[in-house]
Amino acid sequence: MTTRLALIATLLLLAACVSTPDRRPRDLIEAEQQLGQGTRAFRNDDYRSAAALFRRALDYYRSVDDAEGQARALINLAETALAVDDRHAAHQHLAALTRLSPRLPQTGLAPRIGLLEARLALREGRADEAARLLDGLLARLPEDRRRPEDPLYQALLLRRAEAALAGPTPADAEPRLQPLLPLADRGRLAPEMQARLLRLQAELLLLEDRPDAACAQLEQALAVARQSRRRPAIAAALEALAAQSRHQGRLREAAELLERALPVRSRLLDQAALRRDLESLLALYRELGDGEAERRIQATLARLPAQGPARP
Amino acid sequence: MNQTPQRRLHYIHDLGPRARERLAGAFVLLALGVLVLAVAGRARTAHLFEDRVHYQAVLRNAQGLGPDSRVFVAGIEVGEVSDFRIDDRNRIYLQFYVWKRYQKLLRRDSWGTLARTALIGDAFLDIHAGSPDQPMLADGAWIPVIEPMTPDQLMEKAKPVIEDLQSTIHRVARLLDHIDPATVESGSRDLAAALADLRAISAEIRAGRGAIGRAVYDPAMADDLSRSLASLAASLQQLDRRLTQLGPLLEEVRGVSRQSRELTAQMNQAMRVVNTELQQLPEIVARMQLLLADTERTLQGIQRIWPLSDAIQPAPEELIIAPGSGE
Repeated sequence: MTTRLALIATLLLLAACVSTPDRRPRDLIEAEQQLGQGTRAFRNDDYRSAAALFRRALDYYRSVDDAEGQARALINLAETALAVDDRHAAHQHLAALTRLSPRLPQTGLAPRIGLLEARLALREGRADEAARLLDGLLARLPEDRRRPEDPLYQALLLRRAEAALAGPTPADAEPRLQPLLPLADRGRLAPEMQARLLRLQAELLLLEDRPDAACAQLEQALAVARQSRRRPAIAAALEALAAQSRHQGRLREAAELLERALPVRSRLLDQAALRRDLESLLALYRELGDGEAERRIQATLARLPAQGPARP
Repeated sequence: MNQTPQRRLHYIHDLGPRARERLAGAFVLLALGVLVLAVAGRARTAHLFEDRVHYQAVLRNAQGLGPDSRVFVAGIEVGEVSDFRIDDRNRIYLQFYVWKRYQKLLRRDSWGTLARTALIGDAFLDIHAGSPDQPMLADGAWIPVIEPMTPDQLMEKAKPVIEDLQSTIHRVARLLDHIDPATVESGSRDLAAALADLRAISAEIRAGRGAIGRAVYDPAMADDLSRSLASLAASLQQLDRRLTQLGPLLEEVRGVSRQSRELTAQMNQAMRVVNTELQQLPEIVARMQLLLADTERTLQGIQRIWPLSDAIQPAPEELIIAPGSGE
């Protein structure tokens, strides 16, 4: 009897837990699922699938004239384009976002779009423009988001420091990184953010002519990236370490680091970065007089598609 | 003065009590007598008090014969089936009786058969009366019973014949359909004309006119014909030699041709099989589409209810790539 009562009570409790079904249109749910799946694919460095899913979601949001949905899909597409260094596509997506901007006042997506524009400017070597954009974004950022714990604020600060290091006033970088250091010490930064912070700190240390300390920071950046399995961060740390080794005249070590970076880059669709690594490696082997390795790299370069942006 | 007519009383009121009792007793006795007579009459028609002589028979198929089925001898109802028993080999032991007065009809050479009152009527046991010179069958004797074919068996046997007959009729009908009376009529006329022509040609030949007539009746023409035939024979011999030389080649060609035919037959068969399969393909595809659509609907339905709806519906921050994810 007790067992039966317990069973009935359990069933009643379960029934009480049932929420109302999701009655939104099926297409909307699917579009959200596509955005979610695309984001997961992006995190897994599957940029081709991610772009396809974002495009499908964008088609849906366009078909129902949903500006916020379109903006989300376009931001994701621009991120994917930047990940594979497809600058042309990134420009197109950002232009579309600019056209949408008047309809996005309440969404809070404007700083995110600005960050993408700044990243594209940085990628294209327009460090001053990127710094100006980022300063504006930081100034306009709402108070409640201007916290070191906010990922957008962290990203803005890191990119601003990057712009400073790429521009004529690298000393401006350090104050930008300061708010993030306590978080990094407590391990509260996302792995890719922490790895970037460490690389930027390494650059600052190089400016201070402290190459060993810079190498230590880069090693730490590599460890963080490896631990989080983030391929772009791993590749960037390896390339930075290789550049530093080369700068210090350790050519063989630089070559080995770049050799390690090659399979990581191959897995990503960033062919421009892969070509850049291969060309650096070719130059290294020439300096080392390693003819066999030189021929191998040349053959690999020859197999690469013609130069141009990768299409996810 | 009007006088009301006096009603006449029933005679019973004039009778004394004793007479009344006698009258009532007479009616009761009369009713009892009628009842006794009815019972006696029924007993007579039902042969209730007649002696019975029992017999036995064995059957493979009772064909609807059951207890109380009637038994006839020479068309006279003489008894009834009383009981059945089935042995371990599924043979049916039949017990029946005939009334004593008909026993003399059953002799040693008597035999029975299963029959029906109509093609699908009640079954009964029909026993052929034996020869009077044969001894009577004693009580408990066995009587051989011939089991005729059941209507189903009969129909089964007749079915091929009927089908053949039907097919033959169809063929004849088709043949007759193709015969056009007008064609027959004109054919007859043509035949008559052809016979007349043949007769005229025959007369011409007999008169030695024409090529055939001269060939038959003109000696010079006959010589020419003989020479031509000899020349033709020589040519045929030469042709025969050539054909003999071509023999192996022809054999080879024949072999190739046979193989081609076999190959074509196999191809046809294979194509038929493929065609059959292909005909089923659209249905399979359609069914698969329906199945997939059903599955999709089911999954979507499941995803819309708790707890999956909460699990699958992504949070807003999951719909957008985190800032700082890209390099």
